[in-house]
Amino acid sequence: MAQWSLADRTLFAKLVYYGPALGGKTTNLRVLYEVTDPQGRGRLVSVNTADDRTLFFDLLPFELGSVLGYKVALKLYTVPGQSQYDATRRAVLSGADAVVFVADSDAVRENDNRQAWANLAQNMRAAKLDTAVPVLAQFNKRDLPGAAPLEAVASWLSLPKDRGFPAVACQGQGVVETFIAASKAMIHRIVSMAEPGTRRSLDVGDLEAQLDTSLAPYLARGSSSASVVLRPASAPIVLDATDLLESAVASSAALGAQLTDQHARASRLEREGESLRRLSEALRLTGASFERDKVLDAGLDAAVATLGAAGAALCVMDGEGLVRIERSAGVDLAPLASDAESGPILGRMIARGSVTVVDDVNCELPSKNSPTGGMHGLAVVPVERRQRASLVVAMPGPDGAFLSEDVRFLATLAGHLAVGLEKVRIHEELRAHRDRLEDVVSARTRSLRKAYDELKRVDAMKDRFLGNVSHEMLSPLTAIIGAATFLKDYGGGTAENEEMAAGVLESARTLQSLVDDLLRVARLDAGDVATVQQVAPVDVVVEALRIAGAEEVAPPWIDPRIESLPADPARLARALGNVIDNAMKFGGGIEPVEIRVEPCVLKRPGGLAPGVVFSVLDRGPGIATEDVERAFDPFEQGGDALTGKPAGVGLGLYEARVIARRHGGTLVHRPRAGGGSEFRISLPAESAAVSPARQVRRG
Amino acid sequence: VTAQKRILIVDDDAFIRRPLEFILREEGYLAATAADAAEGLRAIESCRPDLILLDVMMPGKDGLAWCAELKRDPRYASIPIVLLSARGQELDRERGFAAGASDFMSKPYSPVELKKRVVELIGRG
Repeated sequence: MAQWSLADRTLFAKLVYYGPALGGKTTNLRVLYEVTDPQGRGRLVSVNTADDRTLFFDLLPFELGSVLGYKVALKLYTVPGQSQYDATRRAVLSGADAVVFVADSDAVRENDNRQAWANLAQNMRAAKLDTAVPVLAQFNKRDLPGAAPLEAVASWLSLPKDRGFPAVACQGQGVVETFIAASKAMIHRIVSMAEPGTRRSLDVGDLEAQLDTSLAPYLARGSSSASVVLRPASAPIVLDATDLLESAVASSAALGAQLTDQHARASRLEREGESLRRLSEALRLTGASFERDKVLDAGLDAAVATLGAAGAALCVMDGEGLVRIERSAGVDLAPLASDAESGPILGRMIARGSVTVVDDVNCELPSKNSPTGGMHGLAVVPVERRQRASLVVAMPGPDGAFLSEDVRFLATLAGHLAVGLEKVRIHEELRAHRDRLEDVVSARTRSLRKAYDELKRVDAMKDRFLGNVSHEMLSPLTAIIGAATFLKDYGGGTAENEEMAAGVLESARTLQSLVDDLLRVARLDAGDVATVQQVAPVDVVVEALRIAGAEEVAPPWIDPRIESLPADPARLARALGNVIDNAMKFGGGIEPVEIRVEPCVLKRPGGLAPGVVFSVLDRGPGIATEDVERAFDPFEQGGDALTGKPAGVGLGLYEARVIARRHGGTLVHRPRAGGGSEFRISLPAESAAVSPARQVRRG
Repeated sequence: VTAQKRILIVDDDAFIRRPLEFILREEGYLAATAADAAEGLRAIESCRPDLILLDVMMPGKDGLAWCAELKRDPRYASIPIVLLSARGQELDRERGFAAGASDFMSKPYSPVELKKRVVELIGRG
């Protein structure tokens, strides 16, 4: 029965050659095989008995042309003619779409013909074939000297003589004509059995024309039958058989064919199932990982394992057309990519950006570098088109090739890989983004913290300013307002008025000094430029004592070796004066404050450097270590705020330290041995003029 | 005939103390002065003031502490005290009243305003 395969748009039809033994059935098929398939692409299967007689024989599907948009593929069978193979004949006949009865014209075989014809009718009934299945007759062996006339042969079959096709099959005559007639009859019948809608839309003449066109080439080839050379059927299977064995083989042969068919189908399904299983495993693995290499490994391993490939790799083509292997499984394909000849070819295959399969790559190249015996088939399947990255799979030599389902598998796998890699890319992008955000946030947090600390510092400074400066300024202001009010509103005695006027003046001077201090420090903060010149230390000390208003100090000790040092004289004197003033306010009283000027050694970034230190020492209570740095903050003051404190706004040490730093030096405090404080203004003095005596002693 | 009202001025700053002393005398009060708490206590004993004008920030014992001390002492608790401070913040003001002060004035105060407060507390001199 004809089979319509919608999926392949192919119509399979079965044509059976029937007739008496040795009547020429097999010869018919061999001629057809030669005519329709001169290159021998299809496979002529012949199962022979021990005495070289055909049991059955199958011409694998070949295209007859297209009908109704379907390819027509025929399967041609012969039946064994010997009477004992009746069961086989029935089996082969089953499902036939048309039958060709090959009659032997030899007059002596009249009876064989009659019996075979009767047997056909009987077996058609037994095989439940429709009576409408066309049966055509061929009167073969017309060339025999003992051939009966056509009318006679026809009469053996109870047919009119023009119903049969005269033939000399062994010379190719009449074979193709018979085949064409049978094909037409068969197709007419198949079409007549198609659904009514299809049938109505068919123009019979058109169909005839289509068939003629399809079959014409065969007719042409058949008529030049002299050129037809019969080849032996490939792979003959020879059975050493008794009649009994032959009978058993005959009946099982049909079953065997079916079994082979089923087996092939089953193994194909099994293979497809395995592919699907590996695909889904690869999908699971590529989906489970966020690392590019792991995703690639999952895909490449699946390709190698499923296809039995020699090797697989993800190849990327760079801007210069060079192919780089990013990751591989199985045999290393690097030689293929780096070779001067195959490299560019592989590059072009990748650059095409479409699936490319080559089944007979020159296998020598990889084999000379790889121990696995080279490769044969090569498939390139794009994965990441924008990056020109492709999955490259090599099948092992000598004849590893890709089936169409392998290519489908690779295309699907490449899709999985692309999705997996895209996911990895997005994941990495997100992670990088998150890292950047974290950096930004922590940087912001740090700068916010810094700004906050600075604000807090400034706020504390403002509080100290309000606390100290308000008191320092408001007290003289109160005095001035009080005295001025008295002078204006009351006008007492001369002595009283003079006292009030003196008070106004004195308080105004206090205010002025305070404002001077504030303005000087404000200018210092604004980065007022210092004027540096060589200064004698004694001048600095004298001016400092004047600024501090200090009288009760021990005689200053100045190292005589120091003649001068580079400094801004006014500023340095101010710094030292402030430090002396501070020492007298907070550390004076018990013992006089001491002042010393000596050479020193400074730690600089580049090593040690010569310097000069101005030390101010007192025997006061000292400063607790934790309070030392605070003492240098602006508006910071020692003493209790409520019980009063030495006058000042708390800028002295701050100003002194700023001045020291402007000179490239430092102002630090250290506890004095035996109690009290030592403040040290250390200044770099590389150009300090030191007396020769010092130098001599050094040398 | 009421006796002349007596006012004690305690401030370590003579330039502030003296104008106050002169003005209050001109206003008809008897004014005594002291530079710190110790001096002030002796002055209280000797002149029995009707009112004390007390500076908050003084060397030795600060005005707030001394004010609280006086208020705890039954001998002096009834003498109204006006605190004078150059640290006129709200906190100081509250601490002043907590210490029992009758009034609080921030420096620089106007002598006219001070005179008004004095009159409110003890009447004219």
